[in-house]
Amino acid sequence: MKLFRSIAIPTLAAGFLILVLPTLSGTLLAQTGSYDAYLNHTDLTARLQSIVESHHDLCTLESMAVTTGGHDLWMVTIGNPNNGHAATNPGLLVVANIEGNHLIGSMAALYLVDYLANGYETEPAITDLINTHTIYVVPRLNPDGAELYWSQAGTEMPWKADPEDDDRDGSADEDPGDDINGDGLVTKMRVRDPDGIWMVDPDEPRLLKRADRTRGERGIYTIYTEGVDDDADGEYNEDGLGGTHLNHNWPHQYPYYQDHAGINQVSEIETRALADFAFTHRNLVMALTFSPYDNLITSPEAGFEREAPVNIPEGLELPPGVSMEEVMEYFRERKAPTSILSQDAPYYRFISERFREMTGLSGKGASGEAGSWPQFAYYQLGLPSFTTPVWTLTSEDDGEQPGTSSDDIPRARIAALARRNGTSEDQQWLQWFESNGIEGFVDWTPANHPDLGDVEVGGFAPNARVNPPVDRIADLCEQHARFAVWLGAQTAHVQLVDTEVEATGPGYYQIKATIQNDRYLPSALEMGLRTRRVQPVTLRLLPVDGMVLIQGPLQQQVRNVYGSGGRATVEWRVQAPPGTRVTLEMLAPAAGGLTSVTISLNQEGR
Amino acid sequence: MPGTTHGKMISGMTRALRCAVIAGTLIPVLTTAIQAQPFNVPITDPKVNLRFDRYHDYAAVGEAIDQMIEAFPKFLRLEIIGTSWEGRDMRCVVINNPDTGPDTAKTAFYVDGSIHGNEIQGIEVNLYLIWFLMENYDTLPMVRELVDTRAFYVVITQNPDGSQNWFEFANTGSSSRSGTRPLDSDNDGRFDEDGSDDLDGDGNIVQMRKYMPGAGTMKVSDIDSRLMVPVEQGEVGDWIMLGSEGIDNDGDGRINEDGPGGYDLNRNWPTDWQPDWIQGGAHWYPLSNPESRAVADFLLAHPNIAGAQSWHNTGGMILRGPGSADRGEYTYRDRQALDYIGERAELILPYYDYIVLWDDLYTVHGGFIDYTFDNLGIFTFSNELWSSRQYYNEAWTEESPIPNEQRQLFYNDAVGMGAWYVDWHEVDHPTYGTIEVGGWSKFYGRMTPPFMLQELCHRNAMFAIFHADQMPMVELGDIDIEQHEGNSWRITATAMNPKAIPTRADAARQNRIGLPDFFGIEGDDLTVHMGGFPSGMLGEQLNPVERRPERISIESGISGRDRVTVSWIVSGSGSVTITYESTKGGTVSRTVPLR
Repeated sequence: MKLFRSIAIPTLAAGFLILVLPTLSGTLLAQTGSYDAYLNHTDLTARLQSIVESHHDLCTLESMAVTTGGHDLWMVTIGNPNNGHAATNPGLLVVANIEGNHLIGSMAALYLVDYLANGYETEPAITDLINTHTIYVVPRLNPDGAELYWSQAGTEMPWKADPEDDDRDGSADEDPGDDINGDGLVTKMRVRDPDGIWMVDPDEPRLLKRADRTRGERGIYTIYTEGVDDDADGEYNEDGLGGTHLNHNWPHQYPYYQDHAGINQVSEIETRALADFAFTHRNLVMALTFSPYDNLITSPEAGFEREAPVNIPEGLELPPGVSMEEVMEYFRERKAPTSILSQDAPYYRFISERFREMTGLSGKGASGEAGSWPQFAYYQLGLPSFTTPVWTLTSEDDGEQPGTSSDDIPRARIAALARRNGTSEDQQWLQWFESNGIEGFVDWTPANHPDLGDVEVGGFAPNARVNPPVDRIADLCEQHARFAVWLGAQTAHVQLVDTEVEATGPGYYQIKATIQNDRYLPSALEMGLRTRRVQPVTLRLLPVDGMVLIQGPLQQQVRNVYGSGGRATVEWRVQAPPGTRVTLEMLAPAAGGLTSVTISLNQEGR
Repeated sequence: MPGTTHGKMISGMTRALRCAVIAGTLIPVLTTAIQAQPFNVPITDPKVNLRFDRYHDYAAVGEAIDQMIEAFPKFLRLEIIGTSWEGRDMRCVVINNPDTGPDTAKTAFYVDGSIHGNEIQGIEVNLYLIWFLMENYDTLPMVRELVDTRAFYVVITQNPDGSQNWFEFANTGSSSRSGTRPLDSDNDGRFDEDGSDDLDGDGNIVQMRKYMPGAGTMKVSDIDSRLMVPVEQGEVGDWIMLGSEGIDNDGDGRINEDGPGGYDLNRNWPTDWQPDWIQGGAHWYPLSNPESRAVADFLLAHPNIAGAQSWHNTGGMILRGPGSADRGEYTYRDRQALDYIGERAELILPYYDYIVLWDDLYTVHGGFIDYTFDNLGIFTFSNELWSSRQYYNEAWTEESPIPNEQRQLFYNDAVGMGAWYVDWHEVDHPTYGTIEVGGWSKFYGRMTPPFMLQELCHRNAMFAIFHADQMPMVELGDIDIEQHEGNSWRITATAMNPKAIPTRADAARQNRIGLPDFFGIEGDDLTVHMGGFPSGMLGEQLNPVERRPERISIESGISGRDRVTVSWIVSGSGSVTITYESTKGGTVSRTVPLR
């Protein structure tokens, strides 16, 4: 018999709303400045300051650290202006420009800040997102590296500027590539060599291909990076400029002892600042990264996972109060998974479908993500972690507007066709350069090399394949900002939807609390449960004089509440004088914050 | 008072002789005379009267260091290498003789202790090591040679917060392993809110039991009334064990599940680091704690460190890596060096076994000895100081007059006069009502009894010294110069390492850590045509290196008790300087005329 119903939160509408795509106006929302050029640190800083200044009620700008190059590592925090509990609202962490030269990432992050700030109280989806979430944006994790895009424009460098001794000879950065032919770029050199393994690609004479002896092909070239042997050690350009690649510096599948991976995991000022932030902000519910890696155009596949064996030492005596299950869990020989868990994969698949609809992006991201931040965010922080390159080659193939049905994406068909025709990615790049009038390839021209004699210099221009032409920035950023707003709205929101008190005898009561998650994502992914980084939803009865606990404990935890209306119920039995008022608290730092209700133990009973 | 058993005559004599040494560094005759004197180890009349029958807490360690630096200012220097979470100094005592060069130019030995706050013996061994080397420098030639040729970095404790917490507050012998940085161990959003509680305020966390006549699972043992034993199947007991002394502070139904800290600084190192859900205690990411970061920064800044020791307790072990089976085994050559030292360690340390961490003890991901070896190329051991076998003088057998179950209590009574066992006594518990608490104090089991501490310190310090002595030390052998024709020469030089540890670990070569060794030749009028390794049965041929013959890279360095020979074909005149450079083995060079 239900005697008392403390709260009734309307939940019906939300269930229908969550999967409806936001229908924002066609005009660009981001208004603070234009999006027709890539920005260096000074300009990016000015833009961020200007947005934050004109929206100081919504945003703050903080320096997370100062890099060795003396640049501030900026973080913009955007949150509900009416609620001082920004750190208790579910947090969305957006990180970009981890590779110094991936400037489109910083533009997308800047645009998102701009878009959110300007859309608040004019666009309902944005208003709702900011009212319920705190959005942390690191627009440029690698400011030192980004400056190299301008100061070392002739060289393609995704990593940091700090020197590193790649060839372990005691000096750092002493043999970088050099501009032999004076075109301002470090490209490649090909040298005629009877021992060479490269030949001219018969399909595209500008490209080289590896000769295949089994098909009667004969190599005539050896390829070097353009440059001289600066340190006279017999090797060309083996210790180039720059140090740690900040997207190879993270502990999951860390590439130990590899060049540019750093002296050890999280060894850099930048990565440490971000890691410390992530671990001290338990309210984080999602990570979105703008980096060359992708798991949104193509969603990750779950791999087969064997259950970890349990090896309990012989003759182990169970300590008092410890269950066999706890002991088994303790002695389980766990191993870090290397592919997404099968329970989590469907969520990634669903979100990936929406992403392709909303951005029209196809093509593929970079490979080799071992030690990357997006991986770390999923495998070790346990967060849903998404990453998009913002721009890919095939996203540029035609002018078709995104948002059409996912079954009919011409770009995907073109890419598929290209694969069937055997057109290599390099050939596609050349075609794309031509059709867009971009000087992305340096034709092979003779040059004289001090040691190698006659060489030809040519190949892909540095950074030509990293960032889109500037006239594409605004569109791509707009699509990604729209997606980010939609994505943020999918995170769990757990509410206390029902509390019941039932008298089970004179002065005896049963208390039940039901919680419910009406958003799309569960309050914890399976990976979040495994890593124990996602905090369970905690329900506690605050002790009160005269109340004796019969069945408890006072504080109980729910590890996960599924999305789309998933529920969980927690029970207590107490003995207390009729009329006692008890406070019930629900703490869900990563799924809605703190809720507190007071309930009255009614004197009627059976 | 220790050190007073010998007559005044000897101590008076040594004092006089020491004065002679101070005055007499210019008078080698006197020094020789001193060497011939009989000597007590340890010295009985030290300059600094440190006691090793007690444990030093943070403040006492500070005083001891100050006293030693005051007494031996030339050799000792205190470096604060970082600050702990609570703001304590991370103290590193540098032992170096500046007359023979700066510490950074010498092959150095690193030693630390007490990375687990409760494992405090390491602090004592470290103090003893400094004290012994200083007190005996003037009188023991072996000490003097070691101190003159090597540098020592002694990080007294890696975990000053955890150690101090163990000293200052109620603990068990095993608690306060962590640092004290707050951690939400039970994931309820509150930090360190449910630690143990010293219900009787006696400074010990012991066991709780409740008398439940006819309703318990435990009974009092027939052997000794202090012992609790489980009832047989079908029997009922009168007692229930309620776990470690404490209350459910946060009302979640569990007791003492979120005490101070809750991480393990020795699972926080980069090599083979695994996240907390795989390797409990790993904390956030490698070197995420200020203490481990300070030590790593120090080690990285001192590539001259070739040997390391990290003291733990307990069990009587000389541990080497790897820490987990996944790491594979070390190379034969690296193992040879470790085995040479480890097998001798067993002779120096009765009751201690030389064993492999993962294989013979347990798996450790992100442990210190894997980090120093794999990531830094330092030959490292970690001793588990103190074995409880040392209590009884021998392993227990059927013939013993004392039942096995009772022998610890017998020892407590007969050797400790009851010092280490807290007898059961009543206290009030907020949830369980009247209960009893009792059991072993924090000073029993893992801690060495004070009267046995000095021997522990001495023997382990001697092992550290033995280990340090086996660090590589490069020497140049004969340089052979053969004239070919005109001013063309073949020069053959040999570099030797008479010690057990190679100048470069295979692990370092495989992981591309640090620099290789270099064997180089230079001269004012010198052209190096070719350089490489002699080959052929008599070394009459030459296997030349492809590049930079004037500075031949020796990727593997010189193995333990081995040599490397190179030859150069040069033309020139005058003299040439031949140099062998090794980051860990030292740099030696000699100039010889071409004739």
